[in-house]
Amino acid sequence: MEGDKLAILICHCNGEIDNGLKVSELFEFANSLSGVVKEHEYLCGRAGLEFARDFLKESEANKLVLVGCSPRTYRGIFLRALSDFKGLIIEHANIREQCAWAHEDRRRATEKAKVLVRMAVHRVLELETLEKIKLDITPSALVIGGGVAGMQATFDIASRGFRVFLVERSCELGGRVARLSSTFPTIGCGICCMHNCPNCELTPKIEEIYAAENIEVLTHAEVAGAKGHLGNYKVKVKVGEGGMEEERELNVGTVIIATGSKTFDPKRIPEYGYEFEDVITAEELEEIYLNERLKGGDKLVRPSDGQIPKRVNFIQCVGSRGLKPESNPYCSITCCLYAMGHARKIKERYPDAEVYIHYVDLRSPYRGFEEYYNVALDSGVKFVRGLVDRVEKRGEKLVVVYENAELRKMAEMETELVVLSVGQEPSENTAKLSEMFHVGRDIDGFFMELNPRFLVEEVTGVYVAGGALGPRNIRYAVADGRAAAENAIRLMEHGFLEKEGVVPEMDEDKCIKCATCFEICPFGAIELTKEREMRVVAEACWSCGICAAECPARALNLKHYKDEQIFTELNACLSF
Amino acid sequence: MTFPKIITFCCNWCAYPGADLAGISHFKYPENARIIRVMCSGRVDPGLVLEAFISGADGVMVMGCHIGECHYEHGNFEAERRIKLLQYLFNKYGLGAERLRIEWIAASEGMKFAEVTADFVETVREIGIMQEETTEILEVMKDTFYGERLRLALGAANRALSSGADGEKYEEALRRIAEEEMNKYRVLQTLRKEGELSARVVAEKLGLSLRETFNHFLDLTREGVIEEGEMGEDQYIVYRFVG
Repeated sequence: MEGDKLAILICHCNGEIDNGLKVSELFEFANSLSGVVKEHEYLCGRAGLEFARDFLKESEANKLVLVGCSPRTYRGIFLRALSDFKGLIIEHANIREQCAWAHEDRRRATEKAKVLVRMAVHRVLELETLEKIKLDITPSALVIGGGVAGMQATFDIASRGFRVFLVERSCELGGRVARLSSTFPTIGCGICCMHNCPNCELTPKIEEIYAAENIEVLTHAEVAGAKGHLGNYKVKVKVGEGGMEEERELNVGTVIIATGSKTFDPKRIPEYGYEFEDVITAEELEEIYLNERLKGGDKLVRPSDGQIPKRVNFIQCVGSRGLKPESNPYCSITCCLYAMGHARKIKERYPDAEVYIHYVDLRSPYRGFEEYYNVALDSGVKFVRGLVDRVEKRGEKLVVVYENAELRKMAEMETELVVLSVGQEPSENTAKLSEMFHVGRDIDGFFMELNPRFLVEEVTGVYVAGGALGPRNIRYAVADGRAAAENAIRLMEHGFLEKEGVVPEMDEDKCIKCATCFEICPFGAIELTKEREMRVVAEACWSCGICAAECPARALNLKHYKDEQIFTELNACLSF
Repeated sequence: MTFPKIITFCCNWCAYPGADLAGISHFKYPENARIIRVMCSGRVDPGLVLEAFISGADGVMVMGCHIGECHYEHGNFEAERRIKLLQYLFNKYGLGAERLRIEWIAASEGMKFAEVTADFVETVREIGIMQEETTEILEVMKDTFYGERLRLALGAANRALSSGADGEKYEEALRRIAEEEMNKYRVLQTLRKEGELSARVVAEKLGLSLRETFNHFLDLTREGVIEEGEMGEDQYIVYRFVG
């Protein structure tokens, strides 16, 4: 571009690059191009950055090509260190990851490095100055889901002084944890459930949430839709039920999704005999205990006749680890521990009862688990390795037909109660919320857990915590809630965010008003005005450039990734 | 740059970090492949791919996130649809569909990046150099993919498919439109190159039916890129390129 002054900085990366190619030759080549060139041993260090600043001051360059590592590695460091050079445009020639480390032949790697430098130089000279986009962050948060993760996030954000709306689908807070009769291995109750356990420090307290002035709890409420973009969402929430419904619009800057998981439906594996009354899920076992507790007792009674079972069989991995055709492929993490805990509890309460756990592998991922397992063994719980083939009814009797892998044979036994350790899967609304807030999902259908390595670039204002990310135990769900809250707080305390400004520009003369861009944009960043004009909403744009590739009239072009700019790069690569 | 010249378009979120990881892990791959970073594989307009071939590439690869993991929800679907259509045309016009490849590389798949790149370089090496003579048909293809009609059809695909249209039938329709548009732009190119010609002569030259050629003449006249001239001796009106 007219009046451009180009500077090229070559980094040796502490000799890493010299190991793969000949930097002196590259330096000579760079010198033959149109800019001024310098080299440094280690640019991203403090001395290196100072060197870069001095070089820019003295050369008065407005375009800079950094020859060294991948822009995905340290672009952030350079952007920050050089942020006061107004209008400076930085481009990278990635000769470390793509040349020095990737090729056998030193000479050919050097040749390729020259091409990459030329490509970056030609490209940077074509790049226009971007207009930064400032996004104000509304200082309030929405937390979806009132389980332990959501409650913890709500509490943390509120205690830093921000307004929080907590939306819960059911009539009460606490999620699944509130429905647990006890938790393992701490052997405490699930949540502050007023069952005489004053020292429970495991989870956030429901009362604290209701007591906080800047928290509004909406129960019987569901998110119905969302508009807006990073820092400013308008979320529609349906509150109430049975004819008393009302719709509210919440204006929030950050959103935390903590919708948890649901348990696997055992009907999908009919051979486990869930149709029989005395075959229950672990959740139903909890219900039995809780009902008993309400009556003032702590008995274990089986559903069919209210008798205390003399033999109980736990079946592990129901719906998990791909053990049966209908199962999910992953491990649900919590089931080994809760089955063992319940088995121990039964043995303690009824020492004469026989308790079997049918497992394929026992997973012991947490501290204290191994010891817990040993105590279970000592207390007389019988662990049977092997897959359960089926549970059937012979006359009035329940019979478990199973494999005993240690003896390498099939066996069967009569039993009085079967507990299915059902795994977890994404809750129903995961897909809907994922679409609404543009949060990706993984192959199992849970929300995608972000790679911490790339987390820094992922400032979306929407965070996910707890079981919505995949099976979690209580402690990790609570920790997730904390981490998500911390991210949201940081964003809101800062108050605004600046985006680089890689957004489409529209040539209105070319536009044929077909609305293809409006239809195709995944983020609603193209607005259709009343006059049927297309308008780019820069704040909502995520810089993908799909619109530019689709625009029938080629009226849209993504800044810094325009056709002509990519042509220039192609040309610099292929035509020499 | 030595034969085969390979251009790889990598998306910023999966494929580019995947390529970085290949380097970080010191997995070696041939140095023929040159990476161009775009934000999303969905940014890769077929026009860019064709420009790469016209500028001298022997093979082009587009790499994006795995299906369902696109950072931009459906960008990789868009890329796949376009590249498949382009491959179909490459095959039809004898350019070798294998010169074009679309691959899904996760940020963690450094090994896959290196392997796929090595394999692609070998494949293209076997097919051979992209001959100069192909430039003409590549230009026509570029016109086709930059033309409004095919772009409208491609642009409407996402909405049509998500509201229940039959995917295979839609792709068939895309192929048919692309073929018709190719013929139209071949007609245009012939007129551009040879000045004044009648529909009869053009039809013969390109092996098209007279009826189809007439239709293309009409379309092109309407678009204002050619105009009607005098009646020739064979009683057919000649048309000329006006740009």
